[in-house]
Amino acid sequence: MKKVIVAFLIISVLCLNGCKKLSSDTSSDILSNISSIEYVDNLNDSSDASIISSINSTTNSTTSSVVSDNSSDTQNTIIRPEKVKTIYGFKEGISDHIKNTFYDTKNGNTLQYCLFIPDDYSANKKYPVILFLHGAGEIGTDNASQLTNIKNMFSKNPDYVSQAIVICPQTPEWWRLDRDYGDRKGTLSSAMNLLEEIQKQYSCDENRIYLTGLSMGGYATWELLQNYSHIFAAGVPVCGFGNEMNAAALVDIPIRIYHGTADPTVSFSSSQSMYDAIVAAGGKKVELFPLEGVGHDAWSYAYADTTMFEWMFSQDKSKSTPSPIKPVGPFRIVDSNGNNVITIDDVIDVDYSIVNLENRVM
Amino acid sequence: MILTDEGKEKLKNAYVKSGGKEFTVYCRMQKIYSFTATEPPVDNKFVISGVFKIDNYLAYYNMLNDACIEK
Repeated sequence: MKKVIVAFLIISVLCLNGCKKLSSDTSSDILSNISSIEYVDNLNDSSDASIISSINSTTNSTTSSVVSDNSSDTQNTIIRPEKVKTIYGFKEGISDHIKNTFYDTKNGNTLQYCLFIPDDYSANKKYPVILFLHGAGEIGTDNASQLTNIKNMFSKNPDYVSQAIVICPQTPEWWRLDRDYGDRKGTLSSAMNLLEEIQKQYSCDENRIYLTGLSMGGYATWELLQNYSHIFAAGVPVCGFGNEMNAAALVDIPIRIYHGTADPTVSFSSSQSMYDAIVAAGGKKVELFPLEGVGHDAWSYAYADTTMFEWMFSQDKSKSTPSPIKPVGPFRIVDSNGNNVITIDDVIDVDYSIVNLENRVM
Repeated sequence: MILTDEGKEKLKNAYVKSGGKEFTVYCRMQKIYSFTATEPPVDNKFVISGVFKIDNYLAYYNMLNDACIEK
């Protein structure tokens, strides 16, 4: 719809009944049904083990073996390293990891991804999961550049990250959840399918699934938190931007927002607005960390922040309780301190005598 | 909008106390507009002026209308 800037006056005197609805609201497309997802071996034409996998060995050579779960679909067979020798704080700041390709036949996308597994991995233990979504600068298919900006995560906070399964998918295009291209859907929906597949393959703690992303990935983080609030135990959007209209879905999710106040690429106000909207909706679990004078590279600070990981890993959905504060109604006037001055309970009816500056009824 | 007596009192008090501070009007989670309260209501009429996008106005119109009907 053409955007028109209108100056107006609202005068609260008239009561009109039977007002017509002017347009229908749009709704977001929440993707929930996930069907078969298969890994396909593009190195060998093996009909049984439909997987490709390789180890990014930086200092230690590793061997791999085929590990099959006979109780499940053979397409979910995965090559798993016999021993993942993980050392943190390498020259490049990134530990050993698995590189893999995810073929999402449901949504028609192919995603490269890197997977970090704790070196003490045991199927008898449950591990927290971090799903990381990269920024626009790392769009591609090289399955490496998506790690460019998370080195601090591994080098500065190994005690936490080494205890988690970290999933780093790479999208060949903008992360989108709400796109249906006909033959396929947005790649962000495939990232969720990848998460689900990893949960099938590894022993993941379903109550401790954490989400973070930077820049475009920060936007994607907001998208997923809003549409899959039942999945994630906590979220950390870094220098991203979200949709304030969906803030009510975020009131019960622990969220830490990081954003540089001097960000020339994505305005700091984007995060401020999301924070304000969540608070206005009754959210008490959201925190905003303005990084004074920092530009777009807020990730350099966020992922180096040990307190963030301490906070993140303490979040557990099984122990969380819904916010006792109910989201307020659809209409309210809020003062500068975030207090609701007027809510829908204070409104008897709508007065549509909205006029422009020339006093013409619109 | 037509407010309850209690609502009128709330808004009046907010105007008086605000001393020109900014208020923000939301429909659901969407920020519709912000205004600064600098004058008390006159003749029980609250005059609010501001600038907003027509898209937001339509959302405001529909949501507030729906909410009032649901009440």
